[in-house]
Parts: sequence; C-alpha cells; structure tokens
Amino acid sequence: MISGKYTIIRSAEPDDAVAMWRLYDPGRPRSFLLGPSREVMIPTQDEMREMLARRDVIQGSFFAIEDFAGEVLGCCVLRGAKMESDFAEVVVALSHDGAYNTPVADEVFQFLEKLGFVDKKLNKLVAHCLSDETEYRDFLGRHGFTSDGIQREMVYTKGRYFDLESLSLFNSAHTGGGNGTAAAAS
Amino acid sequence: MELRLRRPERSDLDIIVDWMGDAEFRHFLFGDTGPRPQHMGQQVLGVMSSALAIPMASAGNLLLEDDAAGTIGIVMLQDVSWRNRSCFLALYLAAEHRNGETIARATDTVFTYCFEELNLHRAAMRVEAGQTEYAQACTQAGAVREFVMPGHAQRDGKPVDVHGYGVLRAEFDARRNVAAGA
Repeated sequence: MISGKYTIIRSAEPDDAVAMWRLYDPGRPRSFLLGPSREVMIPTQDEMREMLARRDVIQGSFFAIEDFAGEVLGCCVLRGAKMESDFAEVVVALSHDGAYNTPVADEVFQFLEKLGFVDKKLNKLVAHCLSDETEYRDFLGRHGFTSDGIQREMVYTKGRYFDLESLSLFNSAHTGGGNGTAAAAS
Repeated sequence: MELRLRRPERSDLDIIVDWMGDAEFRHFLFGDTGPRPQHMGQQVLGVMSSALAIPMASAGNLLLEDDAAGTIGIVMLQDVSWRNRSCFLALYLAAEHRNGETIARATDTVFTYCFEELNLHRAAMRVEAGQTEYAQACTQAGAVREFVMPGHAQRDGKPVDVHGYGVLRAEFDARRNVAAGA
C-alpha cells in the first residue's frame, strides 16, 4: 500500500469489483475500457470480481486508488509488465475527465512511473488515448509522454469510429512534471 | 499471377519445419531468434493451428502460395477485432522469395484478403525500421504510415523502431477503382 498526500494506492481486491465496474461507463468511450484487440469491453460485476480474485493476473499490476475516506476514485494498471518485457502499458482510470488535471492524477502517475522505471526497471512506458480524450491526453503529455502516432478509425463504438493515439515515455527521458506531488511508501 | 492464401495442411509440416531453421522465421514467430522453451513440435503445431476456421477468431495463420513457386511464405493475422473490423498483419517470406517484387505482391494479396474476404474496415502492418522493402510494399498497397514506436522491438539484441502502416477500406476501394479505370 502506498499512502500519498492525496490518495492511498493499494492492490485491487475482489471487494473493489462494484466500484471498478462503475468506471466502465458505457455512455462515453474511454481508452481504458479497451481490451487486447482494442475493443470496448464492458464486464459484468461477477466477471470483474473474478478477474480481481486472480492474484496471478493482478498482483503487482492492478491497483485501486482510494481517498482517505475509503472511497475508490479509480484504478491504475501497469499492463504487460514482466521481467522479460522492456516496456509496459500505463492505464489510469479515473471516474471523470476533470480528475486528470488534479494532484490526485499526478500522484497516481508518479506511483506508476516509479513502479515501471525503478521497481520493474522497464525501458519504456506506453499509453493510448482515443481521439476525444483530450484531458487524458493532456495529462499524459504533462508527464512527458510524446506521441508515436495515430491509428486511424481503430475503435468502433457508439455508431462511429474513433482514432487511437499511441504515446510513449522512455526511462531516460522522464523528468517528472505535472502538479508536483509525491507519493511515499508506508 | 496473383498469390493465394490458404490454411495450413498437415502436408505443409515439412515446409514449416524447414523454415524453423531460418532466423528470420523465428524472429517472425517469437520476436527474437533465440532458443525457445517449447519443443520444436509444439512450435510447429502452433503455426499449423490456424484458428481462422473458427468464426470470430482473433488470430490465425495462412500460407501464401504461388502457382509456379509453391508455398512461399506465411501470413499471421493478429488482433483481429470483429467489432472494430480491424486487424494487424505480419508477413514472412522464405529466404529465396524475400525480394522487393514478391514482398509487394504478397503485401497486396494480404491487404486484399482482409478487405475482400474478411470484410474488414482497416488493416495494418508493423514494419521494423530497416525493412524498407516491406515499408515500400505497404505504401504501394495504399497504406499510410500512422505511427513510429521508437525502440519497440529487438533485433539482434538491439532495440529497433517499429513503424505502423494502416489502410482503411475506403482508401483500398478508391485505389482499386482507380487501378480498374472506374
């Protein structure tokens, strides 16, 4: 568990299933909803609980973000981070777009950055955002991610196609940023 | 003459076993050329098991065949999404067929298969920096370079950039119509 200035970041548990499931709002396409084939996936609460119970899948990679009152604000994930991997995908799922421009989001990113670059010794973090996720994209850019390009009309949902932008941040290039908060291990 | 795509048969085993001796084929399959923990038989079976026979499959392998030259390579369809109607392609050609002309014919054949058989909306291919003939073939087939991922793959132990080339159905159809003089 990491206790920061604004949040508590801890391994996600099966009991977080309902709170996590609420993030999967099908009303608005968001990149963190995308599965491996970049399809919008809306799991059931039971599927969510089952997934969060699989320690081999989520241990050290899937985290719940809580405020100090115990309310789950979102989750963050380091997808595909294995010893033999050189990179992993960063996913920060917060309940509303405005949250990406807050110290809470910055604190979550600093946690993931340390986890990826220091603890797991990765060379690169990658991230994706849909064409209309401007707040999330700004958040990634503020933390040093640069665009690798845009896959046109990649994701189909809500009756239309969305472009998918790929971004990356190298270990050698990361210099911090954002709103300048810091998380401390407890 | 056009190339054909077909699912692997048991009788193709010898060809695939031969290809396993080619470092480029191992790189194509596994992303590196080093030894694998799986037995050779398991690796070959993985290539043979083209799940494209299953409706809604998300991946599969197809052999590339030429009337005169026989089986010349293999195509891997990855991340097939029937909801997005998109996929990524990877192409391997046996060493004796790895030349600009055949790469261009094979790439065009594969993109055509994606649109005219699988009825996809977009198809894309990842090409490593330095694979200029593959990049040119993608461009000739109407694909646009959409992204460059720095140091995203390993080649001989060194990071190499990966370029992504994508083509949309509308672009493919427009190019076909122009070529047909429509």
